[in-house]
Amino acid sequence: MRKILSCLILLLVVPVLLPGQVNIQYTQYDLPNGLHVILHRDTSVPVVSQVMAYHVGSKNEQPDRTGFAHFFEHLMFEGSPNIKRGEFMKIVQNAGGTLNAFTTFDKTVYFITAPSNQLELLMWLESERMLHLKIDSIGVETQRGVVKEERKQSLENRPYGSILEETMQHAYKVHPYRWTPIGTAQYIDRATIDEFRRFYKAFYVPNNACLVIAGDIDIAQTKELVQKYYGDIPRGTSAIYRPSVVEPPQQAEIRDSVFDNIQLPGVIEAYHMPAQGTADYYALSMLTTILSGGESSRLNKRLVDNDKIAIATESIPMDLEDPSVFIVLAITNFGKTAKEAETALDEEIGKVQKDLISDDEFTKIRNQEEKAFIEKNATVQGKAMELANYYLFFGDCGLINSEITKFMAVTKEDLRRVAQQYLTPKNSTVLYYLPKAKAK
Amino acid sequence: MNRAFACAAILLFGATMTLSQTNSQEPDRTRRPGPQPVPHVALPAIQKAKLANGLAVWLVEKHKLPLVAMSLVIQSGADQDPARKPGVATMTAELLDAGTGSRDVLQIAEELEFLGASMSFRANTDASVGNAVTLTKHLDRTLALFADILTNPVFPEKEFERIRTQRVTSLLQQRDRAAIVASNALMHVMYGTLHPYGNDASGTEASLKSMTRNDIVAFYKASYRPGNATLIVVGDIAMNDLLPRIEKSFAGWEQAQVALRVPPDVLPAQRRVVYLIDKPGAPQSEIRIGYPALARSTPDYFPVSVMNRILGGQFSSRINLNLREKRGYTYGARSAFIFLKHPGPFMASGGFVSAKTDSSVEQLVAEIKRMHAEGITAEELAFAKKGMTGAFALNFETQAQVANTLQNLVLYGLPDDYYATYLQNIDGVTLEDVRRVAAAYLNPDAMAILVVGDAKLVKPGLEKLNLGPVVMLDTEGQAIP
Repeated sequence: MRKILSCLILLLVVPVLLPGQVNIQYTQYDLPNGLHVILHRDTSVPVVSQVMAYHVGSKNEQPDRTGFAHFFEHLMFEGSPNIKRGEFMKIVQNAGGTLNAFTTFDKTVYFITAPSNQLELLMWLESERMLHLKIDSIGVETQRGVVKEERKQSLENRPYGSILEETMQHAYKVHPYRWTPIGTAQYIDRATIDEFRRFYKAFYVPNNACLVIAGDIDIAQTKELVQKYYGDIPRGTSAIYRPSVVEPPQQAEIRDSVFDNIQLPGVIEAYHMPAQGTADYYALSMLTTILSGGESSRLNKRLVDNDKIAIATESIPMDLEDPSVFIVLAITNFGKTAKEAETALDEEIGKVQKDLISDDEFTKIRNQEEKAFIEKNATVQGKAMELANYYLFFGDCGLINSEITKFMAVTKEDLRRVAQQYLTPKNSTVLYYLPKAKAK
Repeated sequence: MNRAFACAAILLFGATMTLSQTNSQEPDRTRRPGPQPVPHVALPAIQKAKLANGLAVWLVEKHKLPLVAMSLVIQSGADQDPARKPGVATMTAELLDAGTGSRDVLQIAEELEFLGASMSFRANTDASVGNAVTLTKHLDRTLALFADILTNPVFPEKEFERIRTQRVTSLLQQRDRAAIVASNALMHVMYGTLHPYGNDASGTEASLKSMTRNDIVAFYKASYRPGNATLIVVGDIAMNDLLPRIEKSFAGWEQAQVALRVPPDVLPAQRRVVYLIDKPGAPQSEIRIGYPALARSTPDYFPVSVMNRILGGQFSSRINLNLREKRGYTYGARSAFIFLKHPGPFMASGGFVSAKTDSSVEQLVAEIKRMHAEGITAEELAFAKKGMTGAFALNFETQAQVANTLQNLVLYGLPDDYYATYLQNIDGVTLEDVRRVAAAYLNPDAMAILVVGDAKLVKPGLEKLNLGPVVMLDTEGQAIP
């Protein structure tokens, strides 16, 4: 709180040196068709970033159609009545822009960053595929092949590539987080063109999206262009499916083994935790910094440096809209077993449950959060992404300036309490990754 | 002064853009909107200084965020590894922060993470580089730590052993990663073991086993000297404020002559050979096609870059559009000229559907041949130029990006106005230039074609292609007798 206050004072005194650092300005409004628009001006480089975030991810899929949201991310590059197949990417590159898209459990995000003189082009492109995407059999067939190769490359042909899929599948029984965005190839093969069209009509509508334009822009002129390109897109009329199912509290430890093409065994522990944005989420997020934020973190010091049980450790709080999981994992050192690594992980978790952390360690994780928070906003694209995310999942863009205070509000007692409350055997899924050669 | 002027120029541009903008209306969606006038990219002005011990200091002021990024560039990388000891340069860099005269490995990590700063020490083929990013308010403590690590490392025996064991372990793991096996094996068959580029820069099982701590100390003493180094600083600070702080941290760094070795000449490839590494049950085949090509100093850097951008250097390249978008054989395929201090490789690569391995090789070779024979069209030339010039400003957004970009000037002796004239140089490339470099530097008849995949499934098809003899290799890239 102090730190932020003193930064604000600095800003007032020497505005030339620190323009807009801790206070990112933005304008936001809704178009009549329901599209939420956020504009942010930053003239330091002549670049503009456009982010279109749709509130649809793998959790909006049906269990027999997993991979749909992600597959759609690929289809969205196929074109429209005014953009020929294969041209979308070309047009952006021709304009000196870069673009990409990604799909998570909760959202599908498209972004284009280009020289600021191409602003109108970016809006034309993105509005074309929101208004009237071309969905035909040629595009669907080609992308079926591409997505299968993507799955092989990121999962099947990569050691430990299936960790997320296996973890979620074991940890969730009823909530759609039990499958991952990449989905299973055979479901995409079964889907008909009509199903893709229905999915588009339901989810790819202005009232299910948030548009952010950030960079070297004139706000008034940008508003006019937003109206011109997005104003006439009709609001969606079918109901937007959002799963209401709640994963019931876990009653007993889940334990299993996965055999993979690996040489070194690994152990993964996943614990159910609250959704992003809750007070305990911030505490758990800082707990992962204690456990695995850098070389001096507890897991690295214990398992890698001292005991040489593991070659790598990690802990990840999944940032998800619905209650999610806190994942802790270790890849064992040569000659060590998954059991040895699990025992050491559990002992370290036991320590954060038993004792309060020291003042020094507490200051350390706060310093790390502060720098990470400032660095997130180093690029206009980074800021545009953050604004979209804060709006869609927190309903509050102001968090781009203030979310750090939620981290700073976490106390040492909170850290111990959340460790005790969530990191319990009853709430855990434990997976051993073992070399396939030794299966049989 | 300069910057203020550039800012004014941008403001003026902004004003013109606003005035020329048409009013809101029904969009004519059939017409693709054209660009407004090209905005001016304000390039960072480099301020230079030198310490008495010879350390060059470059500063670019950038006050947008309260951060400072630093890169210390040492002009010795894996290319300076002693003969038959690949891995020494990268081990040296990795061990720098394993302990100094006054701090042990955990104290270093503890202090760094306490400051919330980030640091990394890595060697690549051409250089050894230390990077740091810190909040400006922690600059003094970060700089003291950074300098201590770079100028007083002690390379503890225990840490040396730990990293060595770790590397042997990860070599073992890498055997499962077809993409890494393929890239390493290709470098090996292109350059041989006597050339530093032919070996995995992180070391081989043999070199790691024979390496001693003395090798590390000797490499450090021979290479990490102020006269062989440049400290690039980008961020929220001015030179008169920065220099005394650097003096304080780096003045004690001892000077000494550094002799850089030149690696042996590489014989150009003579014929086409197909190499196959068996990975039974592999769901994909990793394909690499390449040969030793060009050094960063080539006068044809710009035309070659333009040519490769069309061949395989971007999403809408001929190679990716053909193999991914048209045929769906892959999630992505690409090509690159890797420009290094000495002639680096040309390489086309990707992971492909196992059943289409032969067709994928065939198409990759066909695209290289077509480029070699025909060059590119006027439309493609314009397309490549627009892409390369438009994305240019994106290299200068964050402090760390600027520091990273400027390393190229230091490493390859490029002129200070290199980035100021970059756009002009791209723009000056002609169709004839591209045709000439495609004919001169693409060698479709003398390439190594390397496949990591299920031999049982892919070998017959590769033989049928008749591109050259099919030679079986092990996962280390050695011929199987």
